[in-house]
Amino acid sequence: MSAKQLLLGTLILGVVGNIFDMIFHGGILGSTYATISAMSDMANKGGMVWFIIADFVGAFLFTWFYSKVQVAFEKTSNGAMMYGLFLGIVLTIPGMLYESLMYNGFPYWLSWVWVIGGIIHYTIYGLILGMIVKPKKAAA
Amino acid sequence: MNTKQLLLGAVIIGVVANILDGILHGMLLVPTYNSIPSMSGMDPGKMPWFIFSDFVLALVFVWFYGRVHASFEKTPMGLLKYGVFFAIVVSIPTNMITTLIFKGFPYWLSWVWTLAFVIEYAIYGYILGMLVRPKTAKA
Repeated sequence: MSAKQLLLGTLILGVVGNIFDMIFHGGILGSTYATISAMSDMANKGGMVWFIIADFVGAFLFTWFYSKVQVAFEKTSNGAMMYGLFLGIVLTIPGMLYESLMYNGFPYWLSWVWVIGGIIHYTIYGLILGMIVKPKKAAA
Repeated sequence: MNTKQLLLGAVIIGVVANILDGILHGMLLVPTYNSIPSMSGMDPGKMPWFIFSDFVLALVFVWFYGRVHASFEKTPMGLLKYGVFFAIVVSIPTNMITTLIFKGFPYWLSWVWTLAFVIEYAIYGYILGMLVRPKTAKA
């Protein structure tokens, strides 16, 4: 993977990640978060900028790690999508399931919503990354 | 990687993970956790789930290695590198987001967790490397 692909992947996936999170966490789950005591001062931390940056950092690491393990996957959109699916499982299980064990009022069902959301999120990342890094066909 | 190696790796790493987490989260960081408003109600009855989760974590770590093993040298040092990469991807930025989401969770603790992840997964990788390295032929 070239530096250009790494940067392009980071930028595109970072934007996609932010859109996904805005819909998923900011829109669909926003009202649920407001009812959870452990998350009640989330809006007071001025954290929105940091959430946006965190998605770009996550996108960078997703792309960088792909460059380290890409020989194990087909260099096609489907191959990179499989990487995204597998990494989605790795990043969410059991990590997201700890949340309901550790934080006051965090419901168990929400952990599984995060797991499913995370796996979909990273599968989409993989699909897009596959389109960025797939080898160009030789000209006829 | 065969099924025997997968299961053996998950069991051994699961035990090691429980020992390390028992020391770090069950002893060293307890006073800190007790001072965090969003974590103050941790129920001791949940302990079996923490133990079980570490075995799931170990299974996922070993299983993913089975998927990407072609990318790393089949030696303890090669898999230590896998463990470090794995820890970086799993912990950054997730641990940093924790401080944004949960009430009273200090930023410095996110970095303590991240550092602990890197050390723990490097150890898991090294152990897995000893399990999966090819046997040398007898003379």
